[in-house]
Formats: sequence, C-alpha cells, structure tokens
Amino acid sequence: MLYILAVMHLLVDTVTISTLYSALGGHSQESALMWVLLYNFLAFSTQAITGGVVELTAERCGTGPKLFRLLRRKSDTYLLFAAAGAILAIFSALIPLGIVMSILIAGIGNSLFHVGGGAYVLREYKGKGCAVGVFVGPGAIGVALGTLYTSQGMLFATDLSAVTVILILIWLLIGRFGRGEGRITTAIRQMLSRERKESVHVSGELDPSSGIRPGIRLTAVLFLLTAVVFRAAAGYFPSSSWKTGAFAVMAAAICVAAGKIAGGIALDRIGAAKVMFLSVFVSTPLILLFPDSFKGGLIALFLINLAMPVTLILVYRYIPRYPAFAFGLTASVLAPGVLIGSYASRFISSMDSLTQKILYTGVSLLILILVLISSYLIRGKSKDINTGG
Amino acid sequence: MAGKMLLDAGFIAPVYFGGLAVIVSLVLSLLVLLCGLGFLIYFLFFKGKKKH
Repeated sequence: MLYILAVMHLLVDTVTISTLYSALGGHSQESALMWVLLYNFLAFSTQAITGGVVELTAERCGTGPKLFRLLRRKSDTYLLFAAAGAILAIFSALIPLGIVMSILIAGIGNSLFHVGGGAYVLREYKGKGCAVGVFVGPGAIGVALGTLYTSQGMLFATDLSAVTVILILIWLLIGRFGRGEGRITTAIRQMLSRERKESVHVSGELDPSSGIRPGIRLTAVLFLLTAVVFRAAAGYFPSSSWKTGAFAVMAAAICVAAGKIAGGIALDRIGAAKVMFLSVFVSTPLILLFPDSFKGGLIALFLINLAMPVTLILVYRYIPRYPAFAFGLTASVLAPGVLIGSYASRFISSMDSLTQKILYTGVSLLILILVLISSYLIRGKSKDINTGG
Repeated sequence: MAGKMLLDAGFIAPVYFGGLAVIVSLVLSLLVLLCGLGFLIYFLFFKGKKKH
C-alpha cells in the first residue's frame, strides 16, 4: 500500500501542477502569478484545516450512522480522503471546467490527498522514517514533471486513474469493507502479511509523548513549525544561479526526493540529532562556498531535504493520535515560509555577500537548535518510559 | 510548491514575487495557519482531557 500511495503522490502532484500550468496558457505573468498563489494556498496552506477536519471525521465515523461505521479503523477514513483527493485531481485534468474550477478542484484534491495519504502512512507504519520518506519523496519529482510536461496532463491523469483503481481494489479485497474471507482476499492477505503484522502493532497506539504536558507539547510543535518556516524561507537565499533549465529542475527534484527518502531511513537508523547535524553542517558550507556549482547545489539540496522527514515525524510524535493533522499542519507552514522567503529575498539581495552568508548560517543554526530541543524533549521522555522512570 | 519551482526555473522574474498578491496570499496563509493552531490547542488541551 505504501508504494502505491508513493506512486499516487507523484502522479497527483504531476496532474495538479500540469492542470494549473496548462490552464494558465495565454494569461499574463501577473495573472498567472495570482492563479499560482491561489493554487498554492489551496493545496498547501489549507492542509492544516483539512487535517483537523479529517481527524474529527475519522473519530465520528466509529460512532456515526451505520454507513460510516463501515470505516471501522481511522486508517480507512484516511485512505478514503486520499482516494477522494486523487479523484478530484483526475477530474481537474480530464474535465474541461475553466480556469477557476480547474484550479479550485486541483488545489482541494491535492490538499485532501496529501493529508489522507500522509496520515495513512504515519499511522500504519507507526511514524517510521523510511515509510514517510518513501511517501513524501516522489512529490518533488511530480511537481517537476508537471512543470515540464504541462501538455501531458491527460496522460498522467489516466495513469493516476489506473493506480487509484488498484488502490481501491486492494483496499476492498483486504477486507476493509468486506468480510475478507474469499480466496483472492486470502492470497492478498498473505502477500501483504508483513504490512498487516505491522499494522496490528499500531492498534496499540504507543504514544511516546504521553508523559509530556500539553504545554510542552505545544511549545515543541511550535519550535518544529518555526524550523520548517525558516527552512522554507531559507530556500531563497543565497541565490543559486545553477538552477535554470529543464535538466537542472529535474535533477534538483530527484535530489530533493532522494534526500527525503534517505532522511527517513537515516532517522530510523541514527536518530534525529545526527541527521540534523549532517544536514546542517554539511549543506551550509556547500551552499555558502559553492553557490554557483551545479554538483555542489545538488548535494546541498539532498542534504537539506534529509531534515524534512525529521521535522514531520517529530511533530507526529508529539500528537500521535492525530496523524492527518500532524501532516497537514507541518505542510501548511511551508506556504508562509516560501512567501516570506520570496519577499525577504528582495531585501537580502541588497545586502553584501558576507552579511548574507552570516544570516544564512544563523538561520541554519537556529533551525538546528529548534529541532534538537524538540527532539531532546521527546527522547528524554521515551527513555523515562523505557526504563520505568 | 508551484510558484517556487517556477521561480527556481527562471520562468517568472523574482520582481513579480514582491507584489501585493504575495502579501495578500501571505496574510491568508497566516490566517489559515492560526486556525490550524486553534485545532492544535483544541487537540492538545481539550480533546485529550475528554478521553481521560
């Protein structure tokens, strides 16, 4: 299911971005910018609210009318929202709706898919870094493909339709809705036994933050969100001249995706602190010393993105009962971060080179400190639980 | 993020990103984020207490 959702993530981003850019054809740059901002607002900023609503819906499903009780587990509801998001993305590309409706449907579909799919992966895989990395990574490649192949939206939407049907079929056959006693169901159950074993453990819902006061949880989550905002804003300076042209965009997207996947795997193996040190202390000198180097820039992008699964999973660990909200909240701060970065870059570009470098180093260190504090708070508590303290 | 990709790829000149549209979008994003923080406070301080 994880790999299907990862492929869907790539395709949803490709379809929605290609829908957006193909709808912008013939519009002036100012007008295009307005639509791009609207899309970003719907697709990213709304994810916090979408996540909250998804959580409340998932909780109500267990106690609501009979039809909703079919969604016994929260993960079923998350998957339903992910499928609904993918279907909206397909509609936006396949049905000629006009620019307003196309962008609205594409943006809302994108938001629903990210929150639903992300929540499913976080919950079913107990917030494992490798699983989260595999899910979030392909999104960057999807955005790049959508930007470069704007005229291929229909083709990508057809692919997405096929993968969505496969997702829904597997979901039905493994017994989410049905009894799950048929021959095909048994075969698929055996095929997916590893994944199911993992999901059985999840039902216990180990809460590593259970002994932490709500006030401290809130502070830690705010620290992490601030780190995400700074990271998103820092993406704008110092300026990188190498990131122009289709090849560079695609290479950058692959490095971003690889960084997110590697970050997730590294988080499971060496822990949040070491991943953050590696990400900040190697990428910062690379960016500052070789701002115009293509290879240096790609390596730096890879290293910067190691930190992405770390912040997402740490937010989830502080609110493990609400994976959809954790995912949505973390994603929703990206939009203000990018906007602040784009606006601030005008002022920062007027500063001298040394001041820019000092500022970038300061922001990088601040990100490191914020994440390390949040990581330390929850790690200390986990140790207390493990040792019976 | 769509716009950032455009900017990175050099399709839109950075000067357009400093306009009123960005400020309006930023304000809206922050308002939505405030709603998100409202949800966070509800989940942490109120929702948890009901269960226990």
